[in-house]
Amino acid sequence: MRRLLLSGMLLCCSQVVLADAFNECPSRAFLTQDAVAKTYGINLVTGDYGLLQDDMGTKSKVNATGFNPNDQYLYGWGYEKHVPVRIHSDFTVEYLTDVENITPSKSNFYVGDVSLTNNTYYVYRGGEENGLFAISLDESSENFHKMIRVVDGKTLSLKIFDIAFHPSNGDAYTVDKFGKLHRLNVKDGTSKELADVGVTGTFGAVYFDVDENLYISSNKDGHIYKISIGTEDYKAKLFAIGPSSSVNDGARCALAPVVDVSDVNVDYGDAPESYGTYLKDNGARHGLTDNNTLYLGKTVDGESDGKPMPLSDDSSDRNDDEDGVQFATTLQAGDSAVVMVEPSASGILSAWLDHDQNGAFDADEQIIIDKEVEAGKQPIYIKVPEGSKPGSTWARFRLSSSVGMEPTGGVSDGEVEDHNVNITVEGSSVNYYPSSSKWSTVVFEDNWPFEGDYDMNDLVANLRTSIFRTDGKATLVNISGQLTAVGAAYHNGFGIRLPDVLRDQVDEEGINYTINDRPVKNYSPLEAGRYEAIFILAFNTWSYVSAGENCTFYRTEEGCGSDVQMRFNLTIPFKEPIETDISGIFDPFLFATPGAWHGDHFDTPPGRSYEIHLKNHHATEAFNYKFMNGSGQDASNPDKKHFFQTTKGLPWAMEVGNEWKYPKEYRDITHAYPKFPSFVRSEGAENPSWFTFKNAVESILFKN
Amino acid sequence: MKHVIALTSLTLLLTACGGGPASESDSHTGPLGETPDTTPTLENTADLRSSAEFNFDTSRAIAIDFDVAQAKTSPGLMSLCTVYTKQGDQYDVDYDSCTVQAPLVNGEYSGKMDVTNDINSVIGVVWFKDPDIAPVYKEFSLEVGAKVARRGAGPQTIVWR
Repeated sequence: MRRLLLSGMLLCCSQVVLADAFNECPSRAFLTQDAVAKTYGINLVTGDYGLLQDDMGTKSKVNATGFNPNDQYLYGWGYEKHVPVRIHSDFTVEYLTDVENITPSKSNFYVGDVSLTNNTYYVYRGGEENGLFAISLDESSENFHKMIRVVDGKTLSLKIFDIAFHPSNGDAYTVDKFGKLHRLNVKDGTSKELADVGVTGTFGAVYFDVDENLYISSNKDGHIYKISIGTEDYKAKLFAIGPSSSVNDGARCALAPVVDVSDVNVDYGDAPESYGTYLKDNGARHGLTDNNTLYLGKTVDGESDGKPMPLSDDSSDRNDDEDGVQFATTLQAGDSAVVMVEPSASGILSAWLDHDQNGAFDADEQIIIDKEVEAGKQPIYIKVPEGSKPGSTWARFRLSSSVGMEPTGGVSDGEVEDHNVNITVEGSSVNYYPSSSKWSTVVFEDNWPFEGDYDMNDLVANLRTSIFRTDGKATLVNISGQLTAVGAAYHNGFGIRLPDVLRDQVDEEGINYTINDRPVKNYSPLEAGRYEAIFILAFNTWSYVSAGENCTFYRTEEGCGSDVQMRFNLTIPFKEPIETDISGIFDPFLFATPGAWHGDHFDTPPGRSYEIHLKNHHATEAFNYKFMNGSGQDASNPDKKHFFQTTKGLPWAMEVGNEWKYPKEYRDITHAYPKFPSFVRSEGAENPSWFTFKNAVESILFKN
Repeated sequence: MKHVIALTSLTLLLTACGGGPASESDSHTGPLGETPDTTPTLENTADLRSSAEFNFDTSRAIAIDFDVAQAKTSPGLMSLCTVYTKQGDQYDVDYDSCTVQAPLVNGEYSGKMDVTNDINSVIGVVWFKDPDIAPVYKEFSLEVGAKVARRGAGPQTIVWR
């Protein structure tokens, strides 16, 4: 069934041999259930649970359980002999028949826990003849293993099903069937009603964690709610969907955090933090089983906690499990759209779209509600709400076997996928280059006007563009990219010009520029003082990336790999829709970092007046055309519209139409891609796909 | 080295003049008359020569002219994508590979797109807002290499009527 079960199977045997105390304060919680008691382990993070022991060595129920961190045993009430039991690490019971003064005789208790501050097991049952009882577990106490009534059950009249002791203040807490939160002072037998937690039911299993959070599990539907006692935020929040049972009692070590950092068998989302991605924010999460059968797409991988953008492991660990949801149409505000989903097995699908772009999945933003889906790729028709705000936002899809999922919280199986999406205005079309999720690559040699070494990795950036048009006119442009390599000793900046678009046409206020998914504050990438629409993404690429230990460059040398350190996204709205035929990756260029030396050829640092563009793309208005004076190998001739080419017609910059595997340092592009010369000589007629991986000499390429 | 380049260039010239379809094979790169197992001298990029006008583009523009009959009576949502498979009559489209997504207006869409050179065909899909109407598909072959080079006059147009 799952990892817990496997370990349980090892413990499960027909003859009962008492083991020892637990050797740790476990992060998971324990449930005893069923008429003949069985023990289950439950991961509160996901609600994932499994059988740990189906033969506890008793013929009846065990209830009112609690974990005692002082001796690391579980305690409970054994219904078979009507006495307390000590539960060993193999989950078998030892009847404590030496406990004195058990009253009333033959009584059974289903409410109980161990106070770790005074090392005492407390049980409670309503009614005048019953009450709250203390049984000391402290061998040095004169009351050791004596059952002493603290208060009768008429005076302390609570309709409760379990209690849990706070990890440090000595009080017990519980939620009654009416949803009232109570704090019990077990020394004087009084209780205080603290708040209405907002949910009602039979909460048969109640736990604390070391961070002063109370978890209450509903017998009816297995929903586990979290109440933050420490911050006095008493509103119950759905935390996970766990097992439901009519007989239910929970215990856990209140000194342990609920999360086991070594447990990576949990799938989290990776939308930005505000959407509820980290566990601390009750992020969406799904338990992963050993024989996982329910997920979206071809795979799902686990994490120890959420990794919101830009930390998402989908790009960093080369294992992108966000592969089960695709958008077959645009998402037009107020209109129908088609989403392709690919469940691995039948399950329940829910989804949310942050259509007001407030950074949260609000309750009214659910676009798919508990939809039953079958295995295999299938279209789901959704309605993008009227009034949705056009632009970039996030959608969250959750598949599990549980109904009632919310955009946050844990469930025991399935997968969560978060997707960055664009909402368009009605009638809007989108052009993607090279496609909606692939990269193109722009590469530079930075030695202009002198010929470089043609390893084409002085600056390497992946780019993807989207152009939104309404009635054929462009309304908005999006450029996303990542700085893939810096194999340059010079300090260079990186910019993009929108060809034939004027600065005045850009809605500067509406520009959104993020680096690593965080807004770049107090900076407009739209270069000031220009007529052209020029965007400066980085004045100095070395400000955003660093070479590895003992490495000179970033991601170009053997043994000098690292994850991509700079990802960016630039959204450029226009004041009015504009007639333009811009396409592809527009006009990316390298420039000299202002104030930085750029070789002895220049008397003073050339700064923004030095640029390198793709072959035959003219420079921006910031460029000093006096530099195009035939120096070095440069054969630029503005009169003939020949720009940035050598005397042999070779470029200093190229665009390569895929996520290009570039040569490592000092290795010639021709050696890495032997079909490149044929492409050049034939002017594109031969080997137009020279740049694909299958045409590469792998050993010459940079490998991370 | 220059001798090798000259011969290779001649080979390419002859191939181009032959008018055959573009080939992705590297059978042209060996010098004339040499046995195939002879290891060619390693070229360097600095030894290459290009015309001043050739821009090293690894993509080409494609014009789109769609007038989809089925979408005239029921509103259609169109996607053009580059990665797909076909099994029998069924297409499996990778919607993460789309180059254009647009609503059809009275069944029509016209525009342009850039497609990288490694893509030889694309698929058009029209979904209908009415879930009871199945999507329609059409596959388009794209010109590559020599054909694009010879076209000169403008982009290839893909037409859906």
